[in-house]
Amino acid sequence: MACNMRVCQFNNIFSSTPTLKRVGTCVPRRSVRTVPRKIGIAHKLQLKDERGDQFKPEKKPLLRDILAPPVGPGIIEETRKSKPPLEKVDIAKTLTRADVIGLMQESPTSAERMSNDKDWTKVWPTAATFNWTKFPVSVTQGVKVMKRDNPRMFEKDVSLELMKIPNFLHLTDAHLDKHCNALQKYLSKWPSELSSSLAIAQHFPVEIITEDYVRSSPSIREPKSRIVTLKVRVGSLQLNARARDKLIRLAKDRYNAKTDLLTIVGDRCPRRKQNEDYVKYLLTALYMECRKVQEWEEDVKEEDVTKYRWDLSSSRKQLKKIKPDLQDTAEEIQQYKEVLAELHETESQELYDKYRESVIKVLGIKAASSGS
Amino acid sequence: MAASMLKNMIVGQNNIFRVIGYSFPHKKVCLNHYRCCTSIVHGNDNVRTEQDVKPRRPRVCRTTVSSPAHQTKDQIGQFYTVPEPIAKKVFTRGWLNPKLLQLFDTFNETSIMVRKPALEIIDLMKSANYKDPVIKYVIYGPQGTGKSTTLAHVAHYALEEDFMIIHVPWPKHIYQFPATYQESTYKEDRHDTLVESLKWMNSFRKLNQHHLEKLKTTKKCVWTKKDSSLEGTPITDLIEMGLDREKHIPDIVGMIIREVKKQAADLGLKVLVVVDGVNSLFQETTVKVAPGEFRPSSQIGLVQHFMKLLQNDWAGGAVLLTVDRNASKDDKRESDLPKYLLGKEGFAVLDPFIPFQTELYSEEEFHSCIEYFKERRWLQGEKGQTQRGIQQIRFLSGRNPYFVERACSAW
Repeated sequence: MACNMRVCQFNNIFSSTPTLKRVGTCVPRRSVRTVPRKIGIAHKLQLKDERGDQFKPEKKPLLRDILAPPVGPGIIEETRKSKPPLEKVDIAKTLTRADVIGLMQESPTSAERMSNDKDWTKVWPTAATFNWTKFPVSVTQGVKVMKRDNPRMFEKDVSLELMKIPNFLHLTDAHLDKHCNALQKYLSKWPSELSSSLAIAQHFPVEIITEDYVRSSPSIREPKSRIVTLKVRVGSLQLNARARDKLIRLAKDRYNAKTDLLTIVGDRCPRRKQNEDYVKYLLTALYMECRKVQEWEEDVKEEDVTKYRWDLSSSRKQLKKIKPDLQDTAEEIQQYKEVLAELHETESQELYDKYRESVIKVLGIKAASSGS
Repeated sequence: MAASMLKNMIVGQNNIFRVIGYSFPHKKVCLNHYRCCTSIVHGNDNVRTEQDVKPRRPRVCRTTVSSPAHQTKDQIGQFYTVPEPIAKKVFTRGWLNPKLLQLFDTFNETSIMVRKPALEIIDLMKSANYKDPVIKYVIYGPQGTGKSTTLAHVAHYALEEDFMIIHVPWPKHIYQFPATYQESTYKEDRHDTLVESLKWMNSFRKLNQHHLEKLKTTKKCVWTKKDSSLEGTPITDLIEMGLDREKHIPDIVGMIIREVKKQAADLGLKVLVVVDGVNSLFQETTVKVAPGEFRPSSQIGLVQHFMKLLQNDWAGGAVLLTVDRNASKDDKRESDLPKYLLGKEGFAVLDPFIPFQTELYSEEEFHSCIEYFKERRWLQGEKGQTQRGIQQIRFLSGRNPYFVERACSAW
C-alpha cells in the first residue's frame, strides 16, 4: 500500500496551507476534488520533517518544478547546484499508519455538520452562487452524454453547472417570513369585510392584472410588462337577459361561459398606463352598448337565440293553433315548456316519458281504458 | 340451396355466431347483435339461475282475440293471427321487413305478438276526438324491436275501424336514386320523381278504393292551356287521368292530400297517416340540380305533399310515425332517440307528438315467443328446447325480437 501512495505537498492556489494529496492507483473517491477541504489539518497533526524541525510550507518547492523539471544536462546540473534536489519528505516515517488513514479521510463540511434545526436564513442570508459545502442536500445537475462519462460528474461537489444557474436559496419560506415580519410594522390591517374570496369578488368585481419583470440584461425594460388584462364577472354587471346576451355576443371568445368571466387584454399601447385606460374604456363602451336597445332587436327569432326559448319557438306557434285558448301561464304548459327545454339540452328515454305525459296533459287526451 | 348448406353447417351450439354472421353479412347488423350480447354479459341480467328464468305464469303463447280493438293488457305477450284479407292489405311488402314476411309464409299464417306500444296507441286512438287537430304518435326504439310491426298492428285496427290509410312506406325510396326525375311543371324550385309517385299512387288507390269515391275536388285545376279539371271532379277521375298522363301524378297526389285534409272532418272520414322512417323526410337527396348541387328533400314534390300531412292544421285523423336510425344518413346513426334522428328542424315540425318506445322482449314475452316458435317448429332441435338451450338463445339474442328469431332458426 505504501508503494502506491506518494504523499506530496504543494502550494495551493486557494490557500497557503499545504494540502496532502494522495496520488496513485487506489485513489479514494472523495479526494478527486480540487477545492481545499479544511484549513490546518497538517497544523493540528504537528507534522515534522526529516530533520525534526517543524514543517514549514514556505520552503517547499513549487508544484511546476516537481511535475516538469527543467530539461537538459547543463540545466539539470545548474539547478541541482543552485537548489538542492527535492528531498522526499517521508511522512510515513513520522506518522503512524492510523494517522495517515485519518489524514486521508475528510473532515466534515459545514453542510455535513449541519444539524436539522439549523436556521437556514443564517446559513444562506442573501442571494449567492451555489456553494456545495453549505448546502446539506445532495443535488445533481447535468446530462450524461457519453457512456464513459463518470456518473459522479453531476454531483454537487463536482458539477460546475450548479454554480452557473441562479438559485433561490435565499427566498425560502423562512426567509419570507422574516421579511414579512420585518415589513409588518409598515402595513395596515386587512379589512375584516373582505374575509372570503366571495366577498372580495363582490366588492371588487373588476380585476386588473399586470406583470413586472426583473432582469439583469442591459435594458431593464421588459416589453411584456405593458400588457394589462382586465377580468370581470359578467354576473356582477347589472344587465338584463337581453343585454347580457348582447354582451356575450359582442365579447365573442373573450367570454368564458364556464366561469362567467369576461377577459379583456390591452396590449396595443406602448405604456402600461395607456393600456389600462384603454381596457377600462373598452369595458365601459361594451357595457353602455349592451344597455342600448336598437330597433332591429325587437324582432328576435328562434334561430337568433343561443339557448332554447319556448316563447319564440315554432312549438309554441303550433300549440297555439291546436289550443288557442290555453294561456302561457297554465300549469300544463309550464311543465311542457320545462321538459322541452330539457330535451333541447340532453336526450334520454326518461325524458321522453316525461315529455309524453306533458303532451298528453296539454292536449287533454284521455285514454279509453284507464289501465294502460 | 344456401339454406340447406347452412342447416348442414350447424352442428352444435358453438356455431351460432357463425350462423348469425352468415345470415346477416351486413357488418353493422352483426355489430349490433354483438353489442346486444355483450350488454347482456356485462349487465346484471346475466346472473340468473335456471329457476329465475322459469316464467311466472302458465305459458299461453296464443290468443284468440284477433281484433286489436278488443285486445287488452291481458293479451300482452301473446300471438294473435291476423285475418287473411287484412294481412293481404297491411302485412305486405312496404309495410314490413321482407324477412318477416318470409317467416309468415313459412309459418303458413300471419301472427304477431300483442305488445304494449301498439295497445297504447290504439287506446289513445279510440278515445281521440276526430273533430280536433290530428295527434301525432311517434314510435322509436332499437333495431329489430318491432317499430314497423307496431305500425302494421295499429293499421290492422284502423282497417277494422274503416279508416282511410295514407301509407308512406320508406320516404327515402322517393328521392334516393329515383328512376327518373324532372322539374315540376306546377311550381319552381321543385323536382318530381315520377316512377315512385306512380308506385305510391297505385298502392294508395288499392288500399282506399271505397274512400276515394266520396272525395271530390273543391278547386279548379289547370293542367295545360287546353286541359283543366273543374271544381267537383271526383278524385277517382283525377287518378284515372293521372295514370294516363304520368307527369301530372305528383301534382295529383298533392291535390288528393289537400282535399283529404280539407274534407276529412266534414265528411266524417277518419284518416290514418303512416310514415315509416319519418326522419328521412329531412335530408339531402340524390336529385342533382347543378354539378355538385343536390336538392334537399323539402324540394321534392311528393315529400312536400307528405310533409303537409304532418302539420296539425287539419282534423279528422291520426298521424302514426316511426323514427328509424336506418332511415338517417350514415353519419347520423348513433342513437335511436327522436330528437337526435329528426334533428332540430324535424323535431320542430312534429312537436307536439306522443312518443312511444318499442323495447326488447320482457321475460314473459320472450318465453311466449319461444313457445310459439316451438309450436311452429321453428325451434325444433332437441338441445334448443331444453332449459339450457333456451337460456343460450336468450343470451345470444339479448331478448331482441329479431335476433330471438335468428337464434331460434339455428337450433
